[in-house]
Amino acid sequence: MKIDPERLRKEERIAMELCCLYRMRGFTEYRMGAFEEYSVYMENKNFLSSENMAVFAGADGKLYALRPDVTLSVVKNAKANGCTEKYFYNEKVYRLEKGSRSYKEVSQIGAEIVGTVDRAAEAEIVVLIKKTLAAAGGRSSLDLSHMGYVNGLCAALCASGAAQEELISFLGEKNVHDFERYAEKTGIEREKADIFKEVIRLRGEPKSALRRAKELSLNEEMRAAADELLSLTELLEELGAAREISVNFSIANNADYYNGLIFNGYVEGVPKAVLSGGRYDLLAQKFGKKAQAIGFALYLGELGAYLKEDAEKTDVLLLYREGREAAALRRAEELNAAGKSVKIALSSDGGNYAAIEVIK
Amino acid sequence: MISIALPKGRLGEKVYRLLAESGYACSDYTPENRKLVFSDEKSGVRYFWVKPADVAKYVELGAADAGVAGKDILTEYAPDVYEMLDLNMGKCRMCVAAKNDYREDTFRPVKVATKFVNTARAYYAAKGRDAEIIKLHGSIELAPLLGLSDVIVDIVETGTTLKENDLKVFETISEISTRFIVNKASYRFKGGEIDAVLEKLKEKTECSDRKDTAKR
Repeated sequence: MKIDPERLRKEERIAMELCCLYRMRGFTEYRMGAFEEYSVYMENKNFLSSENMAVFAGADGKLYALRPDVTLSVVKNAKANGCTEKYFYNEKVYRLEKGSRSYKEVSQIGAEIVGTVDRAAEAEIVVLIKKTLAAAGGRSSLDLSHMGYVNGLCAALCASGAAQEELISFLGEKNVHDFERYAEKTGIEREKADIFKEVIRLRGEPKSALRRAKELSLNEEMRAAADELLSLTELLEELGAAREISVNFSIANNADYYNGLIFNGYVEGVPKAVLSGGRYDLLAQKFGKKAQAIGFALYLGELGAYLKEDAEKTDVLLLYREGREAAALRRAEELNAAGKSVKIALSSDGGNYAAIEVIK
Repeated sequence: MISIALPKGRLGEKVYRLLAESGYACSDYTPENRKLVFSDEKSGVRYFWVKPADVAKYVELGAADAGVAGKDILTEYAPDVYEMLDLNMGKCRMCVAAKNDYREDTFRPVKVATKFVNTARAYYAAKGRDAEIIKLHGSIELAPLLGLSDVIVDIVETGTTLKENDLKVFETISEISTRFIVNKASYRFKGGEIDAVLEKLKEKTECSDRKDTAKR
């Protein structure tokens, strides 16, 4: 039977389209068990969006956790033998949502590159992200940031530990007014504070925003990060893929794992980011791999909650009576062959049907 | 069209007036009207009146593109939103208050009655002080009077209610004022419109701030 995309729910259609998309670029599917040893997640809990995991004891007395994340497992199991591996996955993960007391099963689709991550690999990931967001439908927007730029900025303001967290939260909230008070209280130099404020507000067309970001650089780390992003956007422009991309240093992922480019994707109509990821060479290093790594995940579950699905509909309700089973089933085959969905039943059930047929 | 969640009450009305003066008026708005939603095609805005503590939820979950909420609420619920402007209104302090003759017994956990459970917990945790938090929904000042708690954590504007109940402020946790918050995804797709509102509001609040300072 040929697959008729019209018969699929939107979420299923997006998942299938994306699996095809990633396979077309040489990504192979990564499958993992539903649970893994708890210690793997516990040692890297800062990489996860939430520390809460559904944990249980296995028959061997070890603690296991229902997978809260796939990337950790991909990187842990990557061979990293000098070759570059490209994987994608389409899995359910289990997480405790903010403010909730029960675990939620969320569909996630993502792609990861482990090995050599050069400019081409980063651009390919961005292109795949744009196609991924496009498959989700509607207008989309991709924000790029760079951990080096954010770290460099915090270092220039002499912040570490708790102070760095504070600065990152001002960036994340685009909160200029509370930063001003903080700067005054902690005695951050006027000139540097002004630069921080401009970085908070910086957004828009990537090339001009990045040129400005470079001018604002207070140290080599920031300059190098701005240059790296500039070179990436130039390549994207060359590919005609630089539209609907903006620079936004208000996104920052955990600095213990992420090092370079990071990103967040939005789709119009969904109130939060539906896609995120970045360069996480440091995670690969934690697993003792000599490899670079980059990846992203689309929270299909989050997105699905905002997709408008049409009510499930069957084309024909086929009513038959006892003794007419064969005729009913034959007619059902005929209708299917004509591309119509059919439900055979002894009596009407008040469901949603375009037509009702009766076998006499 | 951008939608803005406003807190019911005096403060919300004041912010609405500021927005209206800035060119975002709604023709169907009157203060006596009990309608919960106002919109105006021409100015491209829609307003909702919601309970002040709920504004952050409406904005975080995208039912409104932007909203007006006190820093007390933002600290308490830590919504994932942009906090883009301090409106310099509704100024007050988050305080620890107790009976005038209160003496702290550091050998046992301090009993704290409050509406702001997370704020209180974080404050005492940062001090390394054991605290028993009692969540109340109103008339917080009553708790220490009846011996329900040792202290309260609450917002204090003028301190009149405290004074009338023989209570006083022992510590100030933070300064509070009203903030303009924006949904992160809305800012991607309606950034221009939101920036325009922000720009106008900034002019208005900065000049009213200057007037305040002049008066002082």
